[in-house]
Amino acid sequence: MDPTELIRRCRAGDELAWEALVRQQQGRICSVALGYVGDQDEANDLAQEIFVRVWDRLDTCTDLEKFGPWLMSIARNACLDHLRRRKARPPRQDVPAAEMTNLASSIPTPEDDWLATSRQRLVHRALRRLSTINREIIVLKEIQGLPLEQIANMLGLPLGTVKSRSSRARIELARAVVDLDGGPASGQEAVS
Amino acid sequence: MTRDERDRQQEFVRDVLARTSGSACERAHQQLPDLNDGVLLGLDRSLVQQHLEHCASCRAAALALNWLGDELAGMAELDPGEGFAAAVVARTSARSEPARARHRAQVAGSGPAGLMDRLGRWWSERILAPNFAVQVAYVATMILVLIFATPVSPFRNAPGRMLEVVQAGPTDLPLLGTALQWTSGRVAGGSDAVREGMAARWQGLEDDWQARIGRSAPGRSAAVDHLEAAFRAAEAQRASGVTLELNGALQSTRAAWRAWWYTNPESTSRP
Repeated sequence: MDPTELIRRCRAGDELAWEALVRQQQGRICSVALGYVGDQDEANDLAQEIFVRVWDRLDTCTDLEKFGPWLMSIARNACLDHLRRRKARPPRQDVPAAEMTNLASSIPTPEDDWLATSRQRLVHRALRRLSTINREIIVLKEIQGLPLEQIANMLGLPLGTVKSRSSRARIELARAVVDLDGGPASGQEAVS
Repeated sequence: MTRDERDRQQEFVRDVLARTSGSACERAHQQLPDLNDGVLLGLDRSLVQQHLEHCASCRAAALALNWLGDELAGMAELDPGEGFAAAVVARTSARSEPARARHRAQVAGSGPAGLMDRLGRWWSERILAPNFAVQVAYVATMILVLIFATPVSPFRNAPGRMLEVVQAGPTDLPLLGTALQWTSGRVAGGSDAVREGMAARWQGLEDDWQARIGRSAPGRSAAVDHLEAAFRAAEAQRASGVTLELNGALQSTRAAWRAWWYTNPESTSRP
């Protein structure tokens, strides 16, 4: 279904169109939210918040052809707001991030059940070890596949900076994977 | 070459590098993404590949990088479960009526609701413009000049006349003097009820002011924290950090403004 037509109908108050739009975009938005917060329940709640924001601001999407970037921008801002609020309200007992990943690896959580495979679990644990900006670049570029120009616009950074940061973020993630798991597939050949 | 010989050779190279240029792993790590993407060519490619043959940790990182390429692309969408869309629709349908009405009024652009909505939006935008005060002052000056300073204006002599009134006192002017005496008499003889009403009104204003201050305090505090972090990032010459923190400060300021102006930040109803 064409998102442009769906948005027009949503603006006219068509709940069915809105439901269809949510179903169409929920996979991406949940993936983005999980990439930022690293916790399934939290990501689900955050994804709902993102859709409520989208609903409230549908009128402000002036160029319907650019609905995708507009949606991603709202999702990103909501995720950053959420992370800031979480930072302002620290957990009752401070647990270093490294220990949190160890806890996650030893105690099965609902998140572990929810994430489809152990490989995705490993990637999300590694993502938690990255800085916010590097995690953001991995989520937007490597996972969501957004063009570098769009990411540069969203982050307010020069294109060259995003390019170099992207390479650094990828290698940092690879190192984190190796640290956590000793490498994903030690029997494979490196790039030749 | 036996395994022992290879290990000895490797150890020798490590020692030499440690005493000269330092480990080559960092440089190799910088080039691994390009190698993985197939854009590293020529001698650079050969050098990195040679390094990988002898460095287990870099080899592991290269494998992880290669593996991540496919894995990350497969994570673009996650199924949140059947109930997710229904939960979102339930939350938004509770807010749908005012939003729809607002949108209809905006789209239609006709009728009192549409006109008031557009006027409200226009005024909100104007009042937040940086040069708003200058523009208002300019327009007010022009109006005053037109009213009191043009030769054809019936109020041309009004400023001089008003000055005379002030200098002479109200009793010298029959009509104005009588009006002022009547007003002062009403004020002096005003009942306690009027005074109490004014006191209650004042108390209400003060309570409202305190409530607004309280509501907006977290946002203001967060904005200050972000600004401090931005200064620290600027001192550390981290441009991205400054950008992020300034963005955070703006978001927090906006949240504080909404909390100050609206009783419920999610709604648009003023207290």
